[in-house]
Amino acid sequence: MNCQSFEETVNELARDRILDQTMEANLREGVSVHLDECTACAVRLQDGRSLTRCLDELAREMKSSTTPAHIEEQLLQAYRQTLPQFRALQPAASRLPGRALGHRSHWLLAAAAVFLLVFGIVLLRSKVSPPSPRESLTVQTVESAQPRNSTPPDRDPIATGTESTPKSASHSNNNGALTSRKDRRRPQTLERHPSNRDGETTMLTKGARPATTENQTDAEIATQFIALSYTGPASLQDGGQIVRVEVPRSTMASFGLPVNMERYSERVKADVLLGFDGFPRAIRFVQ
Amino acid sequence: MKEQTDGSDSELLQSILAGDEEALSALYRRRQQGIYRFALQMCGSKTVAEDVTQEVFMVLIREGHTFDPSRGSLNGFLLGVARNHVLRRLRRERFYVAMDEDSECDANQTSLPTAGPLDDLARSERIELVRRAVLALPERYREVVVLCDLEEMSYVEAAEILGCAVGTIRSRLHRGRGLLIERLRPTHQEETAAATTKAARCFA
Repeated sequence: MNCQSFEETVNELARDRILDQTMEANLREGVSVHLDECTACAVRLQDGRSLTRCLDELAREMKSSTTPAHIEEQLLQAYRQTLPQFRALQPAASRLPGRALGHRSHWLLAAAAVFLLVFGIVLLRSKVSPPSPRESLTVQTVESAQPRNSTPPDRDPIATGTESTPKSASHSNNNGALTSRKDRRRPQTLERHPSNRDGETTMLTKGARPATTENQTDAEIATQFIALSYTGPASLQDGGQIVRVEVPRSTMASFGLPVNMERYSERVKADVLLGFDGFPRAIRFVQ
Repeated sequence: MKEQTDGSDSELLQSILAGDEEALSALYRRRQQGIYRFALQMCGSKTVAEDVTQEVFMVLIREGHTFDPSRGSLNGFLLGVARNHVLRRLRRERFYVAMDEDSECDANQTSLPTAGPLDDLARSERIELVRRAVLALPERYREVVVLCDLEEMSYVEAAEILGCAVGTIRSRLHRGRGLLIERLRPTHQEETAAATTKAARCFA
């Protein structure tokens, strides 16, 4: 035996609690040989035995420790009070054993989870997709070569309110026009949807001018503009620009839009609506 | 009544859940001391230990149906509940400052005195010192020392209560005892030095 193996057994030796009797004889023999050679281990064992004696004394001292009688009284009183409730629950429990209840509750939870999931997906889709003819106009195309109306805006397209012509939303390079999917052939001016929800900008087409055919092949589908959270209600009073950028597809998820997980790492085009001060006000995703 | 007191813990529990007050009283009298001692040795406060003991039996009344005999004894279940309550109270109230866990105790490197460090202390002082040293242990070592050394439980029983492997109990006990020896040694040396100084003054 060496010091390391002695250290592994010193507590059992000091506590005098070696369970394996056959092993004990061999162990004790090896230990006594080692202790003759190693003073440090002999002292270690002595310390351990002293500690065991002290702990035994402490244990004996505390052997008689008990709770005061009033604790039992209080407990029984509490038991009496809870007993009627407990008995009221008892028949129900006997009708539906714990295991069966567990299974049933698991199935119920699973069904509820599926229902919530489906409901959430439906809700999300209804929010993104055009539910009515008027709202369908909110899905727009960007015709990249179309000259844009460069008249400065008089209203903030993000702000909630009545109609405004988002001439403000003139592209930085005057390269795009927002047209409805239903009427792609006609260049259009944009107006604000009167029944706009908070935080969302809906561009509606007026369709007053003839269409340009050259841009039809470049037609793109876009979501409606989504206001960025820190945008003030009248922040585009003085004008703005739309800038085409590419962002990770995961960005769509952060706006609550559904994302194809298989293409999660791919990038997606987006139009960012910049305010006069250069800060982004809204974003829409383009496909 | 005799039947109640002689019944096994599980039988008493069934009776308690069926509304038998005497069964609760019998089980309480049988197990309260161990739970109270464990709580007292863990936290050092009689008030907290009483609260914990009461709360353990309240849990048994409310949630006794969750006890599964195949997973261990009812006493182990009760002590496990007591342990959770004690640890919660300790974390909330922090009665004692834990010892430094990094002060490694290596028997081969330290020069230990030939005499036992605790041999010369008066019994009551010694018990008090040991009690304080146990209370100053980090919780995970303290609970193992309390269960294995003070409550004289086997490693298997302690492992069942603490929900860990027997090897873990063994290593924690080893570490805890090492910390206790380290903790108690300086006190002994200081007291020996103080006694020597006092004697020298008397002769001066």
